[in-house]
Amino acid sequence: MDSAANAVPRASGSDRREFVADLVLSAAGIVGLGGLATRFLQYLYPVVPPEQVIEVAAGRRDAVPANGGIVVNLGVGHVALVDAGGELRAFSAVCTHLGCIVKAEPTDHHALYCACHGGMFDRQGEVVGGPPPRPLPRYPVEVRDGQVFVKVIVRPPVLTA
Amino acid sequence: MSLSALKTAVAERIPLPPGWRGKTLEEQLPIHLKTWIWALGGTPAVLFIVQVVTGVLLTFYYVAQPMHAYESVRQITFGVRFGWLVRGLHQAASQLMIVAVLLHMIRVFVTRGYRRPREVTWVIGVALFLLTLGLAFTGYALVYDQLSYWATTVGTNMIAEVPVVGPPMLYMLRGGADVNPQTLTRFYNFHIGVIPTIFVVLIAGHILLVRLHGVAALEGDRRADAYPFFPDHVLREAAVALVVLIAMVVYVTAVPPELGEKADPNLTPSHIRPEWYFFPSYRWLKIVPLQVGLWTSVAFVIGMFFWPWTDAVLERIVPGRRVGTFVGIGFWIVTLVLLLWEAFS
Ligand code: FES
Repeated sequence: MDSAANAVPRASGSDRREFVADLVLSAAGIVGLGGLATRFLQYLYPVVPPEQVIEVAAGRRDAVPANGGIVVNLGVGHVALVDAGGELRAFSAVCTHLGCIVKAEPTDHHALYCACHGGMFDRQGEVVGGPPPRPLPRYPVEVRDGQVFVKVIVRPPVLTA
Repeated sequence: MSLSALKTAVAERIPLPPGWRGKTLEEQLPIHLKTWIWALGGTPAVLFIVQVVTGVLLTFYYVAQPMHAYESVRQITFGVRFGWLVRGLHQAASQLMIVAVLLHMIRVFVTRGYRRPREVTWVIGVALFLLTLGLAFTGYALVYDQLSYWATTVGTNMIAEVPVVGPPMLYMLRGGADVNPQTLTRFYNFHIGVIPTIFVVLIAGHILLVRLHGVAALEGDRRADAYPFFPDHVLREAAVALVVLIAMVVYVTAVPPELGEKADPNLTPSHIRPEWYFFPSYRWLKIVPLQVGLWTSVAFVIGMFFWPWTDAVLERIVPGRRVGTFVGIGFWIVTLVLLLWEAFS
């Protein structure tokens, strides 16, 4: 004890007090500025509304050619309508690669084609070529009186223009 | 008031430390700098000033709103007096900026100017390079024609693929889940506010470090001669800057800026393509799966940041063979091949 006290003469009192003061000040600074910074980040972070499922009319059934397809803009999003031997199927038309809108391009190999990086999807929405990592999400579709109705998943925009 | 009295009066108001001229302006530079290729380091800085001036001018007419953005760019390009010149220069300088930064980086890379103790200068330089790309990307988005809109959609979507932090980062950048009216405002802000501010701070740091370290003698160059920074070197830089400026004005006058069709969120054009400097990554994304493309890009950026240390380790393992340089040249070749592949396909 004694020798330690001698080795660091007069270390003690004022030094320790200064150290504690520095510590308190730094902690207060970090907490204060950090708190402010989180508020600013929250300010910037958009409030993202939850997804909703809504049913929208998507034109007439006979607009979709046999074994072909069309891409329609429903205002709430793009939907690809594909006819597979008489069966009507609906997919999201937003490419699962990086978000371009696919277009109908019925061939033996694929039914939908994305021009951005050459992604290809078949009549099941499965990837048959190019870089997209996932199949296109499929939507429930119904035909009533020759009119097509698709149940799409939408997310309302944060702010409207 | 006599001239010397004026000098004294100024010196009294702005008390620079004695000898400051010798330390700053008259610093002696190794003689190898006296070749034109070494006067390129200042070119990005000159171009940045061009961008600030023309950029500020553009803000006088540009409207960062989806409904009006395209129209306002049209106004600038075809309506406002000399609007074509201002926008053309801004566009030309942005392209040249990337060329200049790349040339500067290649020069530093080949001469290994990043080695101890200059690693931090390199790291800041890499950050500046990435910010330059960020400025180009956000600026391109503001034009709001078809290509610009879809390039923005595709470019930002990549972020969403990053696990965990990706989606929130994307929301933050876009101001929502999809590209929406907020996105343009955010991009505008990044383009004229956030990135330029960081940019200026980093440029200051970069130049400060370059000056503090002084210029390294070239490996293998035995000449001991030196020449002063001011006026000799400054004049050279100024000459290069002037040539670049004249070339840009001539170019813009001969090939005034154009404008594609207005952005249509409903229609992906059949031939979309980013600007040439994104060709390598664009082509890369076409030929590899998304996750591979993403992680190789991340690895590439990390690799660039840590290059000075990686190179030092390689040097220690295989001394004197400059393995690092070959690795680097390999990367440059791959990048060039991808670029040309996309350009001619
Ligand atoms: S966005 Fe469709 S293939 Fe890349």
